[in-house]
Formats: sequence, C-alpha cells, structure tokens
Amino acid sequence: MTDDSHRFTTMYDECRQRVWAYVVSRAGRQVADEVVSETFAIAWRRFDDVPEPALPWLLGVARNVLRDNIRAEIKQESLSRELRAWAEGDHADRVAEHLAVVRALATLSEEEREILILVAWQGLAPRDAARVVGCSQAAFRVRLHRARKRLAQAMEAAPAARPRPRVRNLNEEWS
Amino acid sequence: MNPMDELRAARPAYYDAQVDQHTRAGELAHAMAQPRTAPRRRTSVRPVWGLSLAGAAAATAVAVTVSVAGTGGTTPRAPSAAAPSTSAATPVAHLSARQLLLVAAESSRKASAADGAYWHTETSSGYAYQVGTKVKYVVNSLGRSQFWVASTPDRPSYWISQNMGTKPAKGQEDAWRQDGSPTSWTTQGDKGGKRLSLSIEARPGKPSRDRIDYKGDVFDLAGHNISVAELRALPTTPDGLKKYLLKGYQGHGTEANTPMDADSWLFQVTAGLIADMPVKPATRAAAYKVLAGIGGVRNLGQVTDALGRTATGVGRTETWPTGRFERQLLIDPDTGTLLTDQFVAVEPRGQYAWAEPGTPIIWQAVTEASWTDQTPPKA
Repeated sequence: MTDDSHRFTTMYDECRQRVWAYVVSRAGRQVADEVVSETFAIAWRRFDDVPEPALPWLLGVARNVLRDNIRAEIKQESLSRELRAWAEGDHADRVAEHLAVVRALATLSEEEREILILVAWQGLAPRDAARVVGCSQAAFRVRLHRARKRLAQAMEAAPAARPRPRVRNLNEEWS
Repeated sequence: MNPMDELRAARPAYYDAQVDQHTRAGELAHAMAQPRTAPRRRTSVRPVWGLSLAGAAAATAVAVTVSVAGTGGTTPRAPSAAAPSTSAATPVAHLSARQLLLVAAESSRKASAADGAYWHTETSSGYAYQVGTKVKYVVNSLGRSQFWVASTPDRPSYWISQNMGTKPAKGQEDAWRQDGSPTSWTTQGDKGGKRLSLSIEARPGKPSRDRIDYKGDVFDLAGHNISVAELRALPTTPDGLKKYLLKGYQGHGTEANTPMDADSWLFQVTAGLIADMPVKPATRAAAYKVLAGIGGVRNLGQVTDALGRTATGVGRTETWPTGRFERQLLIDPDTGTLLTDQFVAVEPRGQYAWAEPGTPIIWQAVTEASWTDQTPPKA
C-alpha cells in the first residue's frame, strides 16, 4: 500500500460513517450509500486539497454531491421516508428513547435541521459547521440561534410530551 | 433538560457504528480507482473557507456580548438605592437574610407530611411591558395556572393554564386613557441582538387543559424531568440536596441558552423546588438551608406581593443580558411557604431600560400547593 492510500484509508475509516449519517439526515438512507461513495471518490481525486481535520471538508463535498448528482424527487421521497421513521421512532437505536426531540427535529425546515445536526450530532464547532454550509461564522451563529429557538418551540408545541417549565426567566418570554 | 442537550443525547447510534466490510472494500476500491488531479493552490480555497473581515468583526461582537453577560453575574451585590417597598419596622428586620432562611427551614421541617390523590398547585403570574404610542406606560400581562399531579403515575396528570388578560399597571391608568384606552398593544423587544415584536391583547383567554404525562416524570427540577416518587426521595441534607441539584447545571438557564452563573442557577432551581413541589418536609428544610448558603442575599424586610399579601422578602441581585435585576423570594417564615418568586428592576438595560428601579418585571405567586383527594376539573 502506498503512503497516500494508507492515509486515505485512515481518513475513510475515521469519517465514513459520519458522512453517511449526514447524508441520511439530509436525504434519507435510499441515496446515502451512493452519495458517500461519490464523496470519497472526489476526496481521492483531490486528496492533496483535503485539509485537516477532513470531516468538515468531506461534509461540504457530500452536500454538493447531494445537490448536483441526486434528482430532487428521489431525494425528497427518500427524505420523507426517513423523517417518517424518525417520527415513529422505529429505528432500532437511541432515537426511540428521545422521541420528543427527534419528532420536533423532523418538523423543522431543512436548513434548520441541518444546522442543529451539524452542531449537536456531528459535534462540529460553529466555525467548521459554517464551512460545511458555506456561510460566514457570524451568519452561522445567527442561523444556529434561530434554529435552536425553533426546536424549543417545536417541543413546546407537543404539550403532552414535556412537563411545563417551572419558572420563566428574564428574556425567555421572547422566545 | 435544555432542548439542545436533549438533542445531543438523542444522537442516533449509527454515528458510531462500523461500516460493513463489503461496503468498505467497495467504496475504497471505487475511490482509489479515480484519477488524481493536480493539487490546487491553497490560496484559491481560502477565501471560501476563511472568514470575511465583516464576518470576523461580527463574530467578535457576538463573543463580547456573551462574555459581558457571563461575568457580570458572578459578583452580586445588594443594591442600596434600588430598594423596593420595604418597611424596617418588622419583627424579622433585624435578622440577616441567612438567619431568616434558617427560620423558614426550621418551620418547614416541623410541617406535617400530608398525602392525597393529587398534588394540586395554583399560581398567578404577571409580566410587565412598556407600551403606548402617544404616551408611554406600563401594562401587566396576567396569567393563572393549575397543576394536578397524580400521586402515582397510573393516573393522568394535568396542567391547566389561562391568559387572564392585560391591563395598565397600578398608577398607569391615566397614561393609558391619554393613549386612547387601547385594548391591544405591540411592544418591541430584543433577544440575542435581534429585534422582536410581541403583540399583547387586553382580552383574557379561555382555560386550556393539557395532559402532562411524560412516563410519570411530571416535574421539571434542575433541568431534568422527575416523578413524584423521585421528588419524595430527594436528599434531606443541605449538602446532599445541593450536590444533587448542581448535577443539572450546564452554565445556562434551564429553559434557554442564556448564560447563567452557578449561584443564580442554584438560587432559581432551589426556589422552584420550595415554591410548589411535593417534597418531604426535611427536603424542603434542606432547600432553605441551601438558599441560606448562597452569597449576596439580603433581607428585604416586610414586602407586599402582587396579590397584596404581606410577606418577608429576601433578594439577590443578578446580572442578565438586559441589565441588573433583583430576584426576590417572598416567604412566610412561620410556615416556610414561598408566596412569590419575582424579578425586580435594579439597573435594567435594553428592552427593560424603561423600568424604574423597584418595578417588578416578572412574578409568580403561588396561592395553593397541597395534597388533595379532590379530582381535577373536566376539560
């Protein structure tokens, strides 16, 4: 194995599942393998351009592949199926225990959901997440703030799922 | 739990899964069969990835705002000028706030442990806003809520709330008439640097009843959902209780991401526990002792709450993004009952800049908190 293919394989092993999970959250499982495969093909072609850490860069590439290579109707159909599965809690993983928040997440706009997932599930710092979605760090912070608020509202909208807050604080009536 | 923390906890297991060997071999082979392109110059990539100057400046401004809000709350001082209506001529006025809280702890400990089919609480709340087009004045938005919590999780629990309407604050009626006696208002606020507007109606709403069963974890204590049984099993020593409560502290408020220092947070969640949760008398006594151990608390003497009830108050100045406020707990030291939890303006800024020192901005007054064998009203 050459030095490059060894480094590439290490990067693949570190990031592959994260890229797959990102694509699942944007477009469902039906198209995820295809997008991941093409993302790593591009990563090999442009391996000399891949920065360290590679994950934000790879997610940005996957985002473009999803936009350019997957037909909108197919993506939409695959994503709706995925979100239905989230709402029904029928994936055999941690989702079932946290149904309320996952359901709320499924009701948000694509942009809001993506931002929250990059931060909360992918664990990216705002700077790296901003790179993925292609905006400035300042703009990302504003979008993140809005998305958090929308998530909290979506959870509030399901009163049976959550006890009422005990005491409201200053500023919090504006949310 | 804060929604973002809940979301983090809900991360699907497949993020950490291993890809199967078949797929891995296929994807790697497909990738490495691609022709390599010549490396691009890094400089051509940077403008896309890097921050623009405007972005950098804006990001700094955000960071500065957060750090101001975060550090201010750590040095609470009792305000001298901004005292709300208090009277020195009360039997407890000579006690320190700490002594007063210990008296309340002792009274709580002596209370009998009651029981019943439902834990029933009733709370009145109010929010102050500045409104008006021709002339500015203050209105109070009022609300009432009831909690009916089944003693065992096999029966439903309910939350009933009602918007009680909005009216001019005491002494503001003339200004309201000058403004043409409007019955709806729009007020501007600011949250996280964004301007928001809120419309307020004078008209009250109908009561709304929600079932609040959440696997029996009906109460929200220290950012976590907790059941009646767990509340009854809370620690009965101040150290044990404090340790338990602080486990929920994440550096921000329990309902929002507003930064909050540990003492302010502990003061709030402990007050919430005392106000209307069905804990053992010994736990309630421990909670008062936790409050007595928090710095910067002063005795307000005798105070009247929004419902006109006389109480003894303790207050602690806190710094929020919208300025300095005093969080006041109005208690009956003889029974250990917490009558009202309220925020009073000390040195307000931004959306509360209008508030005279001493003006209550938000209050919650508990009028009932007891076990009963009555049943909740039907929907």
